[in-house]
Amino acid sequence: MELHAGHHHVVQWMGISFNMDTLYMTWLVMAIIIVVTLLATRSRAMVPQGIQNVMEGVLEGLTGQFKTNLGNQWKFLSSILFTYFLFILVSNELGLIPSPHILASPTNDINTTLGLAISSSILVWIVGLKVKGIGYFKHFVQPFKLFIIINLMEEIAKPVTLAFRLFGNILAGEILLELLYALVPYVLPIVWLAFSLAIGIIQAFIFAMLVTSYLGMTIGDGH
Amino acid sequence: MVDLNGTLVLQILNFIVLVLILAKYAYKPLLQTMEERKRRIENDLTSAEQAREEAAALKAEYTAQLQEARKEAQGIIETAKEQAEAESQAQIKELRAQLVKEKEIARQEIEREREKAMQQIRAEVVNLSVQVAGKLIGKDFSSADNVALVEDTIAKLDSTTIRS
Repeated sequence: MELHAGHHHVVQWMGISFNMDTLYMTWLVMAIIIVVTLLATRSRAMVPQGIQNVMEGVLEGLTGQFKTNLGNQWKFLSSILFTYFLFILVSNELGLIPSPHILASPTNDINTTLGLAISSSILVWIVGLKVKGIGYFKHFVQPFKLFIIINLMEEIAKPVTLAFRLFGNILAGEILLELLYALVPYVLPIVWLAFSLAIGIIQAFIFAMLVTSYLGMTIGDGH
Repeated sequence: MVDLNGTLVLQILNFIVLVLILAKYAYKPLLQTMEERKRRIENDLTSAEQAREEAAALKAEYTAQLQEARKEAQGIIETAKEQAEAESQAQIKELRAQLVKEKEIARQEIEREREKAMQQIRAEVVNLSVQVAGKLIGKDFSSADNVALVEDTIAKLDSTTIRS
């Protein structure tokens, strides 16, 4: 039997290859998020109802978790952290919707997760420069110059672990789901599906939470 | 399965686009609404607290005013009572004086009447006495001399004996 999860439809353009299925799914995820959030903000009632209430609840919950680490940078960073959470959440759950090999999680592609992780690293540098100026990069040679090796490894390990944690969880979940469907078509896949739904939420939260703590370390004196 | 390619860069761009769109059209208005709601609730709470304090102050003021009014009313009643008492005392006194005066007048009247009666009786007695004496003696006793004699006799009698 041949597994579909993890296989991508690759297109070459100007000598560069692109995983088209991942890109389509990403755009679908973006469309879903934009539509849902726009629906939530359409009425903006003083007494929130329905989807506005859900959206406010999510944002409020995330704010409660993330805000304390970031101090006065929260206003600038909140949009990015909310988007990390929402994008990864919807991406993770999209692949769990039963479909004849149409829907897949964009996060089952290392390009997506590494893209998100690298963008988070760039964000950390930007925030570091914003808060501490050019002196931010001094922390690479602290406590003394030789530490640059360890510090660089840490700097690389952060996005790599972020990317592979998410990628591994989601891809493994989808592969296992596909296998279970093939081996035991009843009951068991449903149980795993429910479990994967929870994993999707948890992974989205972990990613956003870790980015927050990296940012918090940069803003504070974490080094 | 783990091939890095151009998708990575596109995903970063996708993410940035999504952040920009959501920040402008979703988070900003939504957070603004939430902030506005928070401010409004805070305002409402503050004004409610203010209203409560004002009400308490008003209540205290009214209670004090009521107390004052009650005290004043009590004072008024007290004064009126005293005044009425004094007035009635004065009236009683006046009445008493009037009574004494009237009693005196009545007494004088009675005295006068008695005097008058006594004089009449005296005249009558004189007449009768003269007539009786005349009849007894059988001679005219009613001349002016005789009348004067009898009157004189009677006048000599102890006036106090007759009066009493």
